[in-house]
Amino acid sequence: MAKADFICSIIIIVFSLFMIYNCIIMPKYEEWGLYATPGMPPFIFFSILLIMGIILLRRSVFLRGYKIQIKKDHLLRLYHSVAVRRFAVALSLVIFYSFLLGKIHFVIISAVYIFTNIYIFKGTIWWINFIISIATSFAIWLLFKVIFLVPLP
Amino acid sequence: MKKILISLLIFVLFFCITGIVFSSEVWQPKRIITLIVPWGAGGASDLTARILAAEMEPILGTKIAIVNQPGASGSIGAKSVFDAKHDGHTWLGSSNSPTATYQVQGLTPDISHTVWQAYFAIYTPCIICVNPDSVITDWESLVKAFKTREVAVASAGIGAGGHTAAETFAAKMDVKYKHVPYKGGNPAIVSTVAGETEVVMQLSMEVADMLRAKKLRAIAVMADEPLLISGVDKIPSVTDFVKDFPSVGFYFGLLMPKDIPEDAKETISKAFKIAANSEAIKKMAEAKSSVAVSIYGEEGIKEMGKAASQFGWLLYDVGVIETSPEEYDIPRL
Amino acid sequence: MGIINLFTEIVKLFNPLNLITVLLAVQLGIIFGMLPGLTATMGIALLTSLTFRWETGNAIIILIAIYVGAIYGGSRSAILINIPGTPANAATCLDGFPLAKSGKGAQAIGLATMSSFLGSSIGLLALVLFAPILGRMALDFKSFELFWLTLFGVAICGNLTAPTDPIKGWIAGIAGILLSFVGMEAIQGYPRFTFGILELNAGFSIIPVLVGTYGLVEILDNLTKGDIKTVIMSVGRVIPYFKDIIKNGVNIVRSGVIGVFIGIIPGVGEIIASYVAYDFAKRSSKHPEKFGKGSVEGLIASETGNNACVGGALVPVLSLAIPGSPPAAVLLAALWLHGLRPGPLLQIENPNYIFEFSAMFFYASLAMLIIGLLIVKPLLKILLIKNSILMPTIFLLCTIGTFAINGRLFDIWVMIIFGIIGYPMRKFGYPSAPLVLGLILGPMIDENLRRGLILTNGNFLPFFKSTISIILVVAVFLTLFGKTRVVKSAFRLLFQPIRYVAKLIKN
Repeated sequence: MAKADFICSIIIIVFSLFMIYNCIIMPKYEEWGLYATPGMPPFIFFSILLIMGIILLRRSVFLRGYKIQIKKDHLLRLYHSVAVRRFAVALSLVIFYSFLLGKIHFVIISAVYIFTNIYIFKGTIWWINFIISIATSFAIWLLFKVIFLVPLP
Repeated sequence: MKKILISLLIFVLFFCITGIVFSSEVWQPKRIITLIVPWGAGGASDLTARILAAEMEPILGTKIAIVNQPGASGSIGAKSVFDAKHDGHTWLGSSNSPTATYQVQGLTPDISHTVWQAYFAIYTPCIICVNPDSVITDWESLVKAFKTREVAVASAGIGAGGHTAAETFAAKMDVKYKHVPYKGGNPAIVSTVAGETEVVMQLSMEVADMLRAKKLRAIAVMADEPLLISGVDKIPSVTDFVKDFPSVGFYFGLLMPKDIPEDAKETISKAFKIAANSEAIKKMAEAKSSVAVSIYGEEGIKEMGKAASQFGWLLYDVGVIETSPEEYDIPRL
Repeated sequence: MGIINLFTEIVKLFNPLNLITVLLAVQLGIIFGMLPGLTATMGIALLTSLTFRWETGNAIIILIAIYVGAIYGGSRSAILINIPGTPANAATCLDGFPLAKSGKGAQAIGLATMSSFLGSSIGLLALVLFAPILGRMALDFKSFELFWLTLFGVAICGNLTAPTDPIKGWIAGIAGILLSFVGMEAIQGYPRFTFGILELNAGFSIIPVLVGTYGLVEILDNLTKGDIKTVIMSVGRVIPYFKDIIKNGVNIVRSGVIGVFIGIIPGVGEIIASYVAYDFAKRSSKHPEKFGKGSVEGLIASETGNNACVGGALVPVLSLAIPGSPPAAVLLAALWLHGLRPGPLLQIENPNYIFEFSAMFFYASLAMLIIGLLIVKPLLKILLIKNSILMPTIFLLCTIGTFAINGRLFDIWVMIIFGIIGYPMRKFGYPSAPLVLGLILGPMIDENLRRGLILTNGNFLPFFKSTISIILVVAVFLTLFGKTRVVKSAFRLLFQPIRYVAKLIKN
């Protein structure tokens, strides 16, 4: 955890410094008084975030979190890990689905999404899968679009 | 209780009927109409839109789904209506003023006020109200207070009704004031009721109940005519005190892109005309101390132009916006 | 007196059709609450349109039932799948899900139901007995007081972490606040941190962020883990033991009172209520180490808090026509649409309405208790569905919920981005609860601070002028530094004379 904290704290520090700069260059609206400028509250909170980042950095350095080594077999293990692959597939399906939303009819794209998911993650045999995916998508569409009049993509 | 059952029955029947496509010459909505209200649920625009939608549904023979899409002074919602297909199935439920000034405010740089066809059903003027404990009791003491000390005026935000009214007042009377913006009309009014601010100039629609309950005191209405609210003494018009004081008031209703099919416009206009003259709108106008109007067609487009020049130039004159409305061909009235 | 009036109204409303309507509406509300993204606010707004032409009494009772049901319903998905159905149930996740994971799902739901009901009852009492008095309190919370209250909310962020790392809680909380600053701010209308992207002008709404950091993270996590179910299934007793309730009596009353008070404050709402109740429970608990790992006390506090808040939020609606929470704002509009005039005039024009309204609220709470306790076992079956089938379906619902709230595709992308950020955040021990809380608190702290300074011309002294402010300042101070040695010894010193006197008297 110390290593993760080390990286996080550096990201936090760099990010808050960048944003503090952004707060300073914001318009000041002098006629309202300096205390009411839109940049003031973000400036304060980014400063607090900066302090927190420094505390976290100090703590992780004490725990020797800076000893980060990247070896080839780490990457290889990452590449071969089942969990990483599953994560990547799940995420890309999600992104793919959202990308096509609004371009293809909701029921079709949703059914395809569920079907692919169950197929890849081996949820069940294909014809049950087929029924599940179509039935769920259609039921959801019917419930929301027709009965509740909720806008659907 | 019977009504529930009947409504349910109608409800079910409705979905059966919507499946059948009408083949008459008159334009009919082909699917559910989406009415985007670019403000939170429960506000003035939302109330007007909901009543109009409920009245127009049976006439148009389709359901109207209301979506609240607040954010960035309502410009996000206006933009999504404009970006949708211009086929008469996506409407905007808002008011004349912010919609007409989104372009000059730089919120939607590419969408001019001239693209909108307006259908306004409610007109509500701004009322100058004070906290009942305030030393301000009438017009003289109001002007005196503004001239002698710094008066805190609450508003619903930059460019909102109360702010526009206050700026008009300040420009006309040549006074300064302390502008205290809130997030919405209701919090602004509450702040005056609670005594955090002394004056609020929000819409008559929003202050009516507080006036009735004597939690606010009305000084004048920013219209040519005095305003009568049931249960409150007659509110004098500002023109009683200053002859050529411009009226500050807002129209609420529906807006849609002007270039939707002509036949669709015609059908919607017809339905709107009936809805705007319905009991429900009249009842709401009475309860919320505003005026029921029926503005559409050319007149609606004209009102948008008027709003763009009145409020656009005002915002420019007080320095809220930097680009002159002239650059967008908005003449000074 | 009030109780008698309420009782007559309850009797008047008693007829089978009313009961069926309430039961159905509460069930609908629970469904709305359970589905991630669809909130109480949205449920009420939708049903307002659908019931527009109905008879007033029937329409209002349905809307109240939806409100009560939705705030409660969110606890179910929070407990069962660790996704809060509405933002108000984010604090329920902290303890509800660990309980369900250890095989106590049924008991957790039973307890959540019971405490929601008790919370509602406390809210009801406030509504019936003290509405006029408490209503006035809504006006006491001006910019300065609201500023301190929100600061208090920030201070408790460090206490909302499951592991023992308060700094990560605060980092998450502050990140939430900073996220809320994106978009057009309310004072000068300047678009902050939008970097020229028009879509960002409206900022990040709470729902996409909530669904992203809870829903999508949970979905990705489960799909990554695969179909290994760690849940131990044993359907035990659903109805909580009486002694468990009695043991938590103080906790329930405290959380209920907190909920009611926070409800009354305009614009604060159920989310903050449940967090504050949770925080107080953790602080005064004998086993604070159990919080976040399946503490019954935490679950009870959060669920009592948010449901008591419903009653509290309705107090200023009826007495001043000022909504105490976002769903209450929509309910207020619905009352107007039906020609009722809530507000100061109500007591003059129609003094009995408050009791009629309370009676409806009573029926809704009762229906929530009955349905809540009845439909538990079928719900638990959700836990048995394979992840690879359940999770894509939940994602579909997440997408709909996110889209429906504003009708913008942009929100779906926000949800996905927060899912991607939220995944490593969770793995590295940054809790999501403070992030959500910060997102709610951010605009309030920003506006009230700057508005307060505008009112005082930059003078900070008036921020300490009222009694409420001073109480809140002390609360903030004690929350942040109460556990440090300096403060502890200072307190000991402060109370030394009192102790001395007490000793003298005793002797």
